Amino acid sequence: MFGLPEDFLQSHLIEHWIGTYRWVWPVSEVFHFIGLILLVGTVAILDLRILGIGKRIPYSNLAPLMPWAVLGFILCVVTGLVFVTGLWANVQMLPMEALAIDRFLQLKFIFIGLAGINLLLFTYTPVARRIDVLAANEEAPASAKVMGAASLVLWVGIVYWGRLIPWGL
Amino acid sequence: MDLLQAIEASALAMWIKESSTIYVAILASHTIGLAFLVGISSILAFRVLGVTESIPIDPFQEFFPLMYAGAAINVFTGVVLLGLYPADYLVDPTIYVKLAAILAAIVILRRLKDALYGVPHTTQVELSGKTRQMAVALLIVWLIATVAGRVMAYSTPTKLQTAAATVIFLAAGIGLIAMFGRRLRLLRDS
Amino acid sequence: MDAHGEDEATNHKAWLHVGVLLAAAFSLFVAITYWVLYIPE
Repeated sequence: MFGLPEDFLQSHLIEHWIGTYRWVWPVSEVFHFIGLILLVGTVAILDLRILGIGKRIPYSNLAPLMPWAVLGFILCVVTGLVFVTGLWANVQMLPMEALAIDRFLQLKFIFIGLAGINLLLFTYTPVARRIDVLAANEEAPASAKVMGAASLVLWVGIVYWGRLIPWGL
Repeated sequence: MDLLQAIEASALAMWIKESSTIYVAILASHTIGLAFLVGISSILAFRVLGVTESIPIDPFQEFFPLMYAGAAINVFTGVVLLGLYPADYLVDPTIYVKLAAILAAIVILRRLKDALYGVPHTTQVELSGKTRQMAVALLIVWLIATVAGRVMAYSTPTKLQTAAATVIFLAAGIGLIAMFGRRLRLLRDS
Repeated sequence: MDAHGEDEATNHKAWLHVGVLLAAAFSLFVAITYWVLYIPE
């Protein structure tokens, strides 16, 4: 797929750890959940403010939540890499194989990509600067609301597709 | 046992189990619901503990409807999921740990809400040792519920190892955040 | 009391929008799930 070798993203070391230390996979699941709880919780609050909930709060008071969203994302990526690189140890399928046949896995990555693009558009256009100074009781501009809505839907979707991955294998 | 078998074989349960679409949608909703419930209440707990102090506590209530929606979704989907394979679930002690932790979380969250927002017609919110204890307790029981939920499918030794390893990694993580939190802007400069 | 009442109204509207948004998105996800699980390759 994509001209990549069949064993791309396969890690024999991670597979070995998963096989030898039976807690590795479930602990990764726990921290994947902790990551998604941090990420979805913070993003939901930020997006809800942009969509007009909690308008008494200036956006700048909520902005300090962002680093926690990033921490959540990093936890999800690191634990996600354990699942991907060590996949063989769990389901006897190579990561590239799984990506080729599992539509839910594909959808999850597509949604993550779209969320990333949405975030880049938000950050590198005037929208972010406009939102940073969103005052109490101030309504966000329509462009920001579209991005906030997209963000909320995409991250909920990512959690949704992620839960379905085993049914796509 | 007869009752459990009756539930397991009920028309609703069979319909759900036969429709993969519905079954996985219910599973996914359960995860989404917990993201909202645990996510938003945990951020409240963080705030009470002094993390992200810029968040005003009183107006934060306005985000609660999503938290309640998450709770409602999870009570509904949880009951349905339990009814699909009740005999299997109810012989596993892990489900009782999970349910007890969730019950504790709901109780603590209600008490915390009353302590923070109980005085009507005032936007003054008092943080105290009591509210901080409740915030810590809430985070702990959510952690227990999360771990219990994830280890249901594993053997008992693996369950226990997972719980132990989680505590160790979490302690390490909290230590790292305490040390580098200000630099990483997770914690505020005091 | 007026300002507070106004707040409530706009809040209800905002939640309605959020609710419809999430419900619509969820329905879309379920529809895609059905398509994935039942449409043969």
